[in-house]
Amino acid sequence: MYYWTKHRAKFLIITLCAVLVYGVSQGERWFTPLAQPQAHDLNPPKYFGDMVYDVSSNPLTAEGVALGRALFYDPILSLDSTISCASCHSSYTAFSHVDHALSHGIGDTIGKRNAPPIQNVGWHKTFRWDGGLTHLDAQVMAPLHNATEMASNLPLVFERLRRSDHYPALFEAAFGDTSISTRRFIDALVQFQLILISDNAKYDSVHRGQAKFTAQEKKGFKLFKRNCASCHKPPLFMNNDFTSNNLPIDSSLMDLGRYHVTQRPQDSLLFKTPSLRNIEYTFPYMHDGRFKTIYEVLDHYNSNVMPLSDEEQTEIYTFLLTLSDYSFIRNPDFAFPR
Amino acid sequence: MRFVFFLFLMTSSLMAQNLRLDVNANQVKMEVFMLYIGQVSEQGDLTYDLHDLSAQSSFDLPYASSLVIGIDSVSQVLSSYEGVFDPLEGMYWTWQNGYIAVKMEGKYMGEDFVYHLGGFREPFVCYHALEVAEHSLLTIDVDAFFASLPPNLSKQIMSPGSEAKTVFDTFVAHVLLD
Repeated sequence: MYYWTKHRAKFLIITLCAVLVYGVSQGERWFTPLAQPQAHDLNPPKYFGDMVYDVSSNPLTAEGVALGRALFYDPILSLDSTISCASCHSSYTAFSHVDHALSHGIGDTIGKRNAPPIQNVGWHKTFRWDGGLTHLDAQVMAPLHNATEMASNLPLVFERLRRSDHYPALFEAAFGDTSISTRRFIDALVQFQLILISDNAKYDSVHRGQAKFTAQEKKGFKLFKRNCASCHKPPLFMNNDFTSNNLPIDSSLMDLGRYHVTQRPQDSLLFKTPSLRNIEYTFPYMHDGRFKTIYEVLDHYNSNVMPLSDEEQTEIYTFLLTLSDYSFIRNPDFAFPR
Repeated sequence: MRFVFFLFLMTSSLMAQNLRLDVNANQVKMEVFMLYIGQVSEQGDLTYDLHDLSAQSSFDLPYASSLVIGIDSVSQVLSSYEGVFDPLEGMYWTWQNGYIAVKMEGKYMGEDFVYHLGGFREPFVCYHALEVAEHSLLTIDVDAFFASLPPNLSKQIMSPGSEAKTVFDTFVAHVLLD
């Protein structure tokens, strides 16, 4: 005790010196605070209306989006590290799985449904063809666990992320420290998906008064409004609801759609109305991808719901092409991070 | 100061009032037995706990005048995905959102069973409220529950729907207050 009292001042000076030396050795890091994540503004067009997703619950940052993008394109999310989200959701086709009627997952196992595009997801109330997911946050875990998609699980993925040489730093940049949790994993993947806004098709230019429809497109839009728009409602060309379009059931798949979620007989064979934005790029069509071309789809409606002449079908087809957003599918910020 | 001390005494006496939970499972081999119990505060707020009943057959729950078994629909849809709601806990359905309210796996009369009971969509909602009032013992009579299950019912129920609802209703009918 006496020793301590007598030498207290010396101890203090030595400690202070040690702290100072450490501080100087740390250089810039010691004196500059950790960089704050930079806010990422979405700025969606006003005519899209209010987003369904509550962005205030998951404020977007450049770092959060970057982490989400890295995860989206990383096959380590799947059991055998072969499949990434982008395997079935390619940026070059509006994040759909072109050429495959039914999407395939690990080991080339074939799923039951046609992977839908990922675009304007902030305005969707439900996800999956049957609407089994009622929140975008929940969507993240579905393909990750599905046996015919990634067949993976969160503990396995988190273990790999913690061991990786770059993910801890990406989590730190986005969320302030390196810890990896379900909440952060979901938030980052959702942030990347929220920026995938397609609002620059010819339709949008016309809407903004920057372009004009051709006579044929104009006629097509008129026909579209009369025959299709009650379900494929502009400007998002969907209705956040479930409908039957009189497709006969595929007896090998026995997919009853919405019924699998609600078990209500009246929901049998109802499927979520897909958006028609970028329809040119997202073939094949329907929940099971049974139609390869837009004309086959129009043929189906022609013989079941709405009789249209060949000329009228061509006009609708021409209008549908005005929903193609080339700047969306070629946006370098959405593509594989290099 | 005296008033604060009085408050402290009041709170601690309330805290001391526990609810004992007993599990009666002699005929049934429960390999997995997890369930969510929510406690309703005086203000009506719900706090959830996830209990692993395969590990212990008797323990104390903090006092609450009413409890719920399962999770309310709002917490299911707007999940925090944190704490007891972290999908890492193994109670989250992934192909649709929402949580399993009661998860039971094991053997009964030489036959394997898997019951993942839950669902927040009408009419197959698996959510049950219990008024505790003056009671101090909550018994889950697993033996009686299994004995009263309809014999033709599937032994593998892993998604919400009418079968899950039937089993859940039978289950909560055997959660007894003494």
